[in-house]
Amino acid sequence: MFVLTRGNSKLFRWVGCVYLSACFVAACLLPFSTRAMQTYTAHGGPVKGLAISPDNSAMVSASFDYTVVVWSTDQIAPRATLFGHEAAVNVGTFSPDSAILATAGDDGLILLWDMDDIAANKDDAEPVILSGHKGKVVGLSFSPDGSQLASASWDGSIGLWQMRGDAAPRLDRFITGHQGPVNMVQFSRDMEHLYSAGYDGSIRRWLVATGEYQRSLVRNGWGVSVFEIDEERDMLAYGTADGGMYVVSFSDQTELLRFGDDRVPVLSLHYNAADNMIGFGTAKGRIMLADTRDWSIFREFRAANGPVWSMLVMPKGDTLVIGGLDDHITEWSIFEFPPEFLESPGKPRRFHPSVAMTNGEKQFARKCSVCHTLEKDGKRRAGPTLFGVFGREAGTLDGYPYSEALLASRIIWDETTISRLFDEGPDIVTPGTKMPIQRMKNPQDRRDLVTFLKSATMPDD
Amino acid sequence: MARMKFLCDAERCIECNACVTACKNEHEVPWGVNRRRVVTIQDGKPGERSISVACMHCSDAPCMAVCPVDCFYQTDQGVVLHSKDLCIGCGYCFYACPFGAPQFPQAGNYGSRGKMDKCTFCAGGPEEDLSSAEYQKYGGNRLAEGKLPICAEMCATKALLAGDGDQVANIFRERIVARGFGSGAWGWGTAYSIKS
Repeated sequence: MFVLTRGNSKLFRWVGCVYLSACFVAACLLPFSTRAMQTYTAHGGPVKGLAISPDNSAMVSASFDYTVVVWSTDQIAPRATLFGHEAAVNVGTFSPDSAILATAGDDGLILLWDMDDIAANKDDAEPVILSGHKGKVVGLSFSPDGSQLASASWDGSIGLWQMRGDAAPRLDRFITGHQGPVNMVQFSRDMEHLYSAGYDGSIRRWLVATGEYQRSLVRNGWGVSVFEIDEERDMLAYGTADGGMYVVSFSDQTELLRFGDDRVPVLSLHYNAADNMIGFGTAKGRIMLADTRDWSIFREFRAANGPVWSMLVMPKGDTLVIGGLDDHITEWSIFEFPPEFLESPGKPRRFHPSVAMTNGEKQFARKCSVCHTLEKDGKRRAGPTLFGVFGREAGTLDGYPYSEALLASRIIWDETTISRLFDEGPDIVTPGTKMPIQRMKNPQDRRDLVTFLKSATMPDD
Repeated sequence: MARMKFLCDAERCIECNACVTACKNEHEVPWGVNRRRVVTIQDGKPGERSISVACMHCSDAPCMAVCPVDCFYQTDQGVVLHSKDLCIGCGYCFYACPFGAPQFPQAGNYGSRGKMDKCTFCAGGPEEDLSSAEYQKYGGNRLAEGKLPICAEMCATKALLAGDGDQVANIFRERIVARGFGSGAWGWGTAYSIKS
């Protein structure tokens, strides 16, 4: 079953440059840095997906904070923040004509955004919503002519969506056959075939017209996280959960490049035929870049203290942008590269506290801070700021896009209701909420958390 | 206190899947979730090997390092467990694990995000030992009963070993002395930072 709907204007709205100029923290150079690395912050949570539009005019980032940010690419700067997903957003991709932005997330939804609306800062712009997946959607790919969209989901299926002409986008079919989550999809150049990779270690070929499984190009055993096929260049590149980075001939599987033997999962891949580069990123922040003309590796370094979930080379071809566990995206110079950057900075994240603290503060830092701040200015997070939460009615903080369930709620947050929220769970206390189902069953931890929150969220006056 | 470890002797695994079946049966693991699976590498090619794999309960567990809500913990026996109450189903552990251990049930009671499920080394979870709540969320707790994981117990060729890491290593060492070094203890070095 699937449902095709237009967005709810209360929930699905986007805010342009005015908001962004307020929340955008200007690109900051780390103290020890030269121009080799810069960070850009517009999200309030880990950044999972990055993509550049085919016309090179825009970049998109998808984040744990339930938002999508569209960036300009000449000077990396946020242009619009898109609200609409009801959970973490995993991936964004542009149609071949750069007119449509498709995003997908943990809510199982695919949202289609009109780039003209984004460029025009239209207040009533709403995404088209494609629903039907029963698990998180982690991969999207348009067909070369933009008439079809394929989605990869952890529900084990591939969604095939028709995007033809003026008709509303609609589901064509779900294709099943992978054993476990599907991580990525790609159309063949002639659009007759669809390729997909998944947890079962296979890269499979399907017939688009019927959804029929044809054969497996790769049977790796361990999961295939990312892949890219360039039929013109006769190339298949893929990265695996057991740490393999492979480039083989698409036609006969002859090995062109093989890298990575330390069994660290490979999570991201950059390939663009135009820039003659291919890159892989791993779960431990390692980046490997190779020249596709002779398959020589020309850059290898540790770019993050944690996973590199997404990576791409900017249109000018001299910098690399990565997304990972941090709220910011990081731009690395590819060629101006001092040796001291072989080890990346290890600044503690807010949910990885490194200093001693009370149990209540620790409970907040480790279990809540990834989604909430305690500050009055309410920096962007997946959830609203908790500043002044005691005595506040649920769903009433200005500026936060609450779910309908919270807007209709009459709960007043106090020691009892907050403790109950984590004793019974958000699904019981506030059914229909966007908040993940999380319970804190240890009564002492709950008491300590509530005590900490009461003092830490108290307005000064 | 023993440090519990798994070892899969890739020279002995015959891909019978008894470990997978035993695990699913012991813990009533839901449809779509395989806490343990048999992976075949170099399938159909020279050097083909089968490996029984689940959570290896790593010494420096990468899943723990990326979890944004601190749902993992390591017992004093080195077993890596997690709280399904705290898990928000973000899937970060799925990406971090080199063994493909974290599992996400399809379309369950927890919505599209789900709650992660994985091998517990037959050690249950944070609920009271051997309680019905523990069984419902995490399956059986054989360690609390003084037993070792059912998967290794059911392994007919004893390719899969589980127990005190020192004893497991000694058994494997004796095999190596007898047969010479082969493809060996797959993943041991990755999981426990010791050269296999």
